[in-house]
Amino acid sequence: MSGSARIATEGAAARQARLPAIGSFWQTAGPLASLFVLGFAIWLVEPVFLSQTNLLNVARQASLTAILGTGMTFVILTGGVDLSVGSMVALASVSGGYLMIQQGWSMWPAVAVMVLVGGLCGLFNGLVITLGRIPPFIATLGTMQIFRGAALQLTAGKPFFDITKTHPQFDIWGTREYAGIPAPVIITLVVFTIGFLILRYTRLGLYTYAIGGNEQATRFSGVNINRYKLGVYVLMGLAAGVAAVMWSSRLNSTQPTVATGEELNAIAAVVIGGTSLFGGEGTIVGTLIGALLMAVIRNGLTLMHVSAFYQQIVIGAVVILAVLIDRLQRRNA
Amino acid sequence: MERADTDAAMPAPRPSDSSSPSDAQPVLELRGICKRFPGVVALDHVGFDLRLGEVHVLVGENGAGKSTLVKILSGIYQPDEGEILLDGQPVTLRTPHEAQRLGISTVHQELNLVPHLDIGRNIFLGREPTRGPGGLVDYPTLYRLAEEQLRALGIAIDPRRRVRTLGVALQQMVEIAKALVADARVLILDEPTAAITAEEAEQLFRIVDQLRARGTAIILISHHLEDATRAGDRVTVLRDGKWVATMPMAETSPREMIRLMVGRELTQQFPKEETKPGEVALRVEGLTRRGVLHDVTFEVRRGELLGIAGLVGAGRSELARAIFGIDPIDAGTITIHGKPARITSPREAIRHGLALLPEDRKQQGLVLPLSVADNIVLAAPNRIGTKVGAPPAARQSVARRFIGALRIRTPSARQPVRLLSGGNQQKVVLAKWLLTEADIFFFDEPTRGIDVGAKVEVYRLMNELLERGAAIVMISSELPEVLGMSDRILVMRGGRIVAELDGRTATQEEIMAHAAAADESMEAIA
Repeated sequence: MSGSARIATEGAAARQARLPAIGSFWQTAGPLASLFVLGFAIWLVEPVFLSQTNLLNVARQASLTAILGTGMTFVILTGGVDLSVGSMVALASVSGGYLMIQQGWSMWPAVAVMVLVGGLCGLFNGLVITLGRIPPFIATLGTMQIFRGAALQLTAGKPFFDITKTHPQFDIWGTREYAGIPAPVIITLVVFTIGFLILRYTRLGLYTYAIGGNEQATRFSGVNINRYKLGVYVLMGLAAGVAAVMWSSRLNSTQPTVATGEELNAIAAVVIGGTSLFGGEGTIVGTLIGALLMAVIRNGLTLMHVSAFYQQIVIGAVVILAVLIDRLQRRNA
Repeated sequence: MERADTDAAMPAPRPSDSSSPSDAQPVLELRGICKRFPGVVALDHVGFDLRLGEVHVLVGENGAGKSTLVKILSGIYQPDEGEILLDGQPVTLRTPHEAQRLGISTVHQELNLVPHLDIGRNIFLGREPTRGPGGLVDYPTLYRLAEEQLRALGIAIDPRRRVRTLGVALQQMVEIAKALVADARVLILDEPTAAITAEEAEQLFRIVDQLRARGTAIILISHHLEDATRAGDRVTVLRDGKWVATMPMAETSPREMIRLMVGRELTQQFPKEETKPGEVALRVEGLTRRGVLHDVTFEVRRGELLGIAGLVGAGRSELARAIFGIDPIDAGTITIHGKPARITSPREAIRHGLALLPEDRKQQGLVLPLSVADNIVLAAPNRIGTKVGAPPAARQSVARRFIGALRIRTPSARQPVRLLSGGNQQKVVLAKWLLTEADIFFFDEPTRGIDVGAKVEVYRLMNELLERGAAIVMISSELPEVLGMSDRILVMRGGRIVAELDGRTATQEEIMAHAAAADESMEAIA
């Protein structure tokens, strides 16, 4: 036992030639630069882009993707993926609507249940993936259908409209502004900050990177892989639950078909943000930038009256471009 | 015409050429082949020739350069220097496909079949017989030809059977059939007997005899000397990447081959220090993992370095994995510091003070994209924070202690570990285990891929551990290292411990004789 003691304290002079350490800054520098260049270009064409109203609008548009992307960053860093997030948002959403409208619950417990439903969906995903040893892609491809089906079944396919009529406080999550800042933006920042802190300062964060970087070596280091993977999918679910609250409040309704395809936006934000789909490398700041970049592109094209169909083409191209640039950078490194 | 070494760099004297088995043309000739990897010269001006209808055996210790040579001949690696002549014409083998097209087929140790496809489709993969203008695969012909080919090899088996249902020996036959369908004139068999039984090996050699009679030239790589004497016409010995000798099999003996394989000077420094072993730290009794380990019993004391020698596939790494809780065991007990321990996962092994520095550092020891600091704290997060916390500043300050103490050369604790050299990576793995306060260390090939200077540093760190009362089990294929560092040496073969030797008196020949266990050579040494 004493074997380590002396070796550990002996001689502390080993500062060799300083090579630049590849820090998190450089990983996000690319997307960040793209964001500024793009913003500048749009501003040249449409000066209204940089107005406070428009910028807040962009931030609000980015919020759903950014919240889901925060959870998705954890999942992708472990080398997994979660295709069921859109369906999780829907199920969490209609659960709240059902409880408030059909069952007459008051808002606060209903909102708590919405977040909880998200968390339980994530737990279910995590259990299927770890205990069932099903690859995340397959597992969440299945639960994507299951959660969506459950949402449709619970509401017989019908939305619940006009929630603020019975629950006037429900607008605090999505439409109100505080000190001029829209609620979705504040929620996004809170979720982002929590995600950032977990990833940087906790064991869960350390192991998230380690599992994605080399699951085998991590297991051989005595880490309980399943436990931390489970944690990651629960985090993803909780983020989806929060997103459901925010989004339902903004729409003032809950719909079983809401957020269809949102999982792809979340994955795109993570990838544009420089996180490797193989896991182990990436940052949550990058994801936030990725979500903003997508919103800026959509906003800019809208300002320039480009059709929404083109927007989709451009976003798709940006995803491919982002990964391509990332690969070229790595090769040069 | 026997001389393969037209190159002046050939170092060793060669036995005189007499009575060669045939005067046939060399079909394949290697001249002055060199291959360097970072920190290692894998092949240093190696040359030999291969004649039609000859079985040429390549022997040598682990790391002698046999595998590298095979990879060059099968188009996987490119030589840095030297020439390959096929029928007297220089050729370059840029890809495995090109090698095959030129008639050089290799049956690798790790078989390359598609397990879900059947035998026939595997044999004809990429050259399926077709018919009609659309180029549709002519399956009836394919299966008929496959069956003929197999029957010619003396195997009666339905070519519609899926490959994954076959044992290793039959899969090898399928690979050979596949090579023959590809019109192989040169067939390379890389360690074909490593994973099959003696009877299966005999069947394989009957096929080899048959192919030789048909004029196929065969290179057989093996470190089992019985294989060499049973099947070979000539034998070439490699050692430390250098050509040592090429001899007709009839003129040599297993004893001479062993001498040529290991007969090197101890050029490296082994800073072995005398320690007085203390009480028993780890005792393993009757450890069995079906088909892998059989009734393995040994103990290692505090302050003692126990070396484990043996050929690749003898079960050495598997032993370490089983004790460390990676692979389940079928029987046996483990006692640590006098108390029985039930270890079913690496977590429990670590809790009992065990540490494993695996053979494959990059796949099993390190998380390459993570920083030096994060790798060091990976196994002992309780040393750097609360139950959930692990702040980066704490990780780095802990790591900096080890970077200093182990003299890990890295610009900072935040450097991704993949950018470090092999020796420094190994030190990071060691630092990880020092942080868990392990006191029983398994070093599996501790200096593989590490340059000479860093090797000595690793040995010194081992000495320091021993001095502090740690117990070390060192698995190594480098005999000088085993002899230079071990207090006691266990030799493993076929999942069993076959010999225990004293580290001070054992010789390389003795270890090799036990590890390769050619009966004749055993007698020769006794």
